Amino acid sequence: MKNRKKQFGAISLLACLIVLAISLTGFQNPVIPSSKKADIQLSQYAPEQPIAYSHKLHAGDLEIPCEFCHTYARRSRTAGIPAMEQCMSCHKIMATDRPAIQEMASLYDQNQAVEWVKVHDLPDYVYFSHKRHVKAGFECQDCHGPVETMDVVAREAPLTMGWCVDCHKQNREQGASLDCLVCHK
Amino acid sequence: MTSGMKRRDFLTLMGMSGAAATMSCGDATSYEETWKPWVRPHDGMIPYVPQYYATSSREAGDGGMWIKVVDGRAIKAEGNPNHPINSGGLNARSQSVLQGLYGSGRIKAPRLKGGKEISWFEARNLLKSKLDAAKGKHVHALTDVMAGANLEVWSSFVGLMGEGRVTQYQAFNHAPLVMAGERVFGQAKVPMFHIADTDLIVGFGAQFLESWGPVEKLSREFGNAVAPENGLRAKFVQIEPKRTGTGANADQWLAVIPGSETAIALALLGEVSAHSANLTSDEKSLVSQITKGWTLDRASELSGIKREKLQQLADELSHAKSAVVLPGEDLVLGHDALKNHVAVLLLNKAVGAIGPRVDYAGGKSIEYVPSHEGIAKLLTDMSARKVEVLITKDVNPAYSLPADCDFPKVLTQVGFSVAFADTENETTALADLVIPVTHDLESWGEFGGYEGIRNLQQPVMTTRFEAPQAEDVLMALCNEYAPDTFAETNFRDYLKRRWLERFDQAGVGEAMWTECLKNGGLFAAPELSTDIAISANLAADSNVDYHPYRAGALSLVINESLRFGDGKTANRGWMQELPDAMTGVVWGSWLEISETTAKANTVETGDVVDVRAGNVSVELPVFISSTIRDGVVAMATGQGHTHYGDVYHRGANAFALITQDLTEGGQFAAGPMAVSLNKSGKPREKVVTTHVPGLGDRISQPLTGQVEGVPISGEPGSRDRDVYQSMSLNDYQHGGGDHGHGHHSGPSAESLFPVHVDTDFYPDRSDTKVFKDREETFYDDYKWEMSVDLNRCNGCGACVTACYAENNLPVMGKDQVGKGREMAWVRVNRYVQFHRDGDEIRSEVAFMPMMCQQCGNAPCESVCPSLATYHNREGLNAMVYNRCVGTRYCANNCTYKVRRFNWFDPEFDGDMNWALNPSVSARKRGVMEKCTFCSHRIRDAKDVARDEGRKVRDGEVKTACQQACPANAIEFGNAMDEQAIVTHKSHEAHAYRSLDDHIHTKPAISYLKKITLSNKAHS
Repeated sequence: MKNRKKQFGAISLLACLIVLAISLTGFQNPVIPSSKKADIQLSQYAPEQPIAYSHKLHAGDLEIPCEFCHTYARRSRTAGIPAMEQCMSCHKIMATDRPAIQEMASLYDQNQAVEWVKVHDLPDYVYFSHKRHVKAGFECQDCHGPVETMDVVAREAPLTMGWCVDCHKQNREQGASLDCLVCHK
Repeated sequence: MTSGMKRRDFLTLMGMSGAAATMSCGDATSYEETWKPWVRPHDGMIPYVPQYYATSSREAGDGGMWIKVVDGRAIKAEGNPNHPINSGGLNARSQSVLQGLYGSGRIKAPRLKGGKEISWFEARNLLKSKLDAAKGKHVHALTDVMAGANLEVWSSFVGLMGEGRVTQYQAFNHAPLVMAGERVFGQAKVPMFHIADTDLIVGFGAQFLESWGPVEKLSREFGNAVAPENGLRAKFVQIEPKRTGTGANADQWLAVIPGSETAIALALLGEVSAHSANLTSDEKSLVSQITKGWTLDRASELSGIKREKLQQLADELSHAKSAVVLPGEDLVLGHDALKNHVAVLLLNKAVGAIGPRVDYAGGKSIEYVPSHEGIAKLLTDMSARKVEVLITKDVNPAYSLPADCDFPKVLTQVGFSVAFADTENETTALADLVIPVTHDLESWGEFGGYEGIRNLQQPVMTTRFEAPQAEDVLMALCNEYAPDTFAETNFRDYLKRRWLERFDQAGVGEAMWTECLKNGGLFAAPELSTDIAISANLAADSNVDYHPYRAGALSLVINESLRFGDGKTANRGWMQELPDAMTGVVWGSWLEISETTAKANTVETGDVVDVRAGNVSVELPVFISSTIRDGVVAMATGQGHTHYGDVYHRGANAFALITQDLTEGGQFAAGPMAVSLNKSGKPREKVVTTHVPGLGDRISQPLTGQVEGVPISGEPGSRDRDVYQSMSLNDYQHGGGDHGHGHHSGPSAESLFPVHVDTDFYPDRSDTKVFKDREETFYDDYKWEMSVDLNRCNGCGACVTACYAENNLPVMGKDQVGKGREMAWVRVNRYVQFHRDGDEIRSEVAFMPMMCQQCGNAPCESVCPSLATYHNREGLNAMVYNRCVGTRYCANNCTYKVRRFNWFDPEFDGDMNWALNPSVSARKRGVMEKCTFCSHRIRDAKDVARDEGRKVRDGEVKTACQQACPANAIEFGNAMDEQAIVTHKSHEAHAYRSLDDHIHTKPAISYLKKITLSNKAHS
């Protein structure tokens, strides 16, 4: 037993040394040249969108409920982004003088859609259901942060496995499962 | 190892440092992903929530399908649960319709002969100019069988253009059976067979569990007949020279000399009719004229079957309470087909099956069963240069016509040939103009057939390429030549109007149409026909001068392939990679031959031989088998394409050997033919996938091996530890069986395998606390279990294909499969035990679907270094793909050899990646994968149950294999629920868990032992 312990110690020490050597020589901390990139942390990702849409204006000042536009949140795995038609249902008459709105309207007329950049993106091997979480009583802000205060939406939560599991652990009484297959598909 | 660093900690540390290194050198912006919203949302469409469309296609034959559509893309074909034929099941060939839709062979733009693509405008002008020139002359259409509105449009068009005809052509159909019905009963129909409540099924070779007739219905009913649910089961006797996948399920196989089937039918008819209470004296005298001179002795001499066996069969037929006789395969019978069918129908009459079991009221009438006379006439017209324009659709005569018709040459005699086609094939390669049209799943239409079943076809998604529906083109042309031919401008509206005109007697209108679309058509089973008297004209049909085919030294029989049929589905990876039920051959053709005959011809498995019949010959490798009569060789149809996508050009085309002589039954003559074999001298080919090399002690018999002197069954001993188990009906009736614990079954238990004695491989670890908190209440609300009824399973492979479709399994190709790298999560094990008795072979065949057993005490879990596989609290042996590091220890340690390793990144033919199931990860190279009881379907069911604040109900979760199984062999459910079907099944007296007694793996699958008829009954 003692020998084995030594063996493991030796191997792990060796492994650590190798890793250390690699990180000293080849893999230093990332060099991020532009200020734009400097903002992009795993937990605070706020990409520029093709149209400067403001959640602060729509969800905050105008108090439009989240699910008014993200209509599938209660019914599907994905909350969905509103169809162009839905944007146009207001913007046919509202703020039609603004360039961004005009740009969107022209896309709509050509039967094209705005290509939004995903702020909250999960790997394809993860199953996540908005429906289950909404029905369990979570507020959108619990995971997405105070979107109604953001002009440019930034990711608040790290969306890592540990973060998911922590919350599931806290909510076991409410039926949150810790089985791997709940999220891994 | 109580203190210090544990192995897992070490690995974790290694993993973490690795991850840190990777992350720090990555580009933080590289994961940017964009998405587009819909411009206008589709009504009722919710992302990720599947929609089902009821439709039908040519693959489905007379059946109906549900196509599962997610986010606008068809991702799976399932059997229509409301359809009288399917009842939810769907055979493998029909499921491959998706690969037809997304395959690489689809035609994307109009093209001229030679392949030059042209614009739609040019194509239209060319077609129009040719039609203008041919107007009033012979414009001809050659199509698959059509019904109702589709046929009306084609007929209107051809009628309008001049003096041409619409010729409907199918390589395989039941024309001789229709003709026999006309002669015997004055009913020009294919009867509907009902075989569920029978006690004796005698088949003359019909592959009714594979490709003959409405296979889903017949498989289901056959399952009901042979499953011993009330303590009794039917006996099935198959009379055929080569044991087919259907014949494999027979309790008794009479390996006859090819060509003697009709002699046997006549002799049996003579015996049975003499004492039959179902025939009037007039009818008896009519029958006696037919059977005159056909005695059991003569039949025995011609067929090589002992007289006693035939006598016994005749007696059984006479005494059976509800017997049914199924006819032979026209391909095997050849010139004798009509005579055979006449005798078979009369036999059914004599045993009282006409009406309840052979139902003419629910039959398929002659208009849906075009004989080959039509196309023979067309070929004559074409050769005589009468045909100005020929339009083909949904047929491939250049492939499936007999080679001596020389279709390519005959086609050059046609002024201008146009192919309306969705996929390239041999015929489109020859056409002067190819116009792409919609695939079956993108089209409107209707299919007719059996009385009371009208299938409606509707598009399930927007077209994959810019292509019109053929009928739309024809309607537009009609309206150009004669305005107002059609009031509608598109075929959908026309179909709807005609449908309502014909079937909406109540005048409901729109609502009726919607209802029909929802259901997939109109289904109203007609009442069973009553007994029908024998037609008096039959007397002319004497068989006194009839001489059946006498086999030469070597006779070839051709069987219709379950996977390829007439060759339409040969360009689909799922079909190429589905192993042939009897031989395990994938991706190619083979010539089946018995060991003795192989020795006589000095050939061995894999030798490529030249098979010559008359002036034609084909080349293919030999496969030595124990389930074919000596002096017979057999091959299957559907391979040997030349213009069907390079990777799918495999094997040899059996149609090359068929001749263009029309038989009495109106078909091109196939039938047994004298052939000679010559070694081609080409390198030996690897033809077989032996799925499980060396699994277990007694399964390691080579598939073709002969066990000298080992009796088939009846040996005493403890054989209840086998992977596969069976028991005799006698034991079953007397309460034998052991609730899956095996050790005390009596000495008369039957098994296919010889005795073996050894000790337990592993100790019983069932009380070991594998997990820290493991206790009796380890399973909470659910413990998912499956039961597979080996009596119902007939080895068709529908489950295998369903699993490919559901779980995003890649198709690997012949080379990789040859190395044992096929990815099928469920395979159908096939066991053959045979015994030579003089020149006679007795054999028993058994099928067993084998998938992950979700062991409660799994050998794979404990060896995984990364905890990628573990036992969850619902009884699943879960697999977390992105934790897997690919050590393959688990596969090594798996008792059942059901784990598959991704040696490569998956590749999908054409746009098959569109059909990926979004609920299942697509695995990458280096990852182990396997069945997890469709855990995503369980999750979906729990999602619904949770919405409604309840537990998942029994029957709510269906695994893909269970759903597809036409024979209802698979049940799935929650074993914690005492009322669940699966709980009930696992407690049946004949339930067992594979190898559990031996190595204590605690599988979650319980198999129901196959109940064999006792030896005495059929030796």
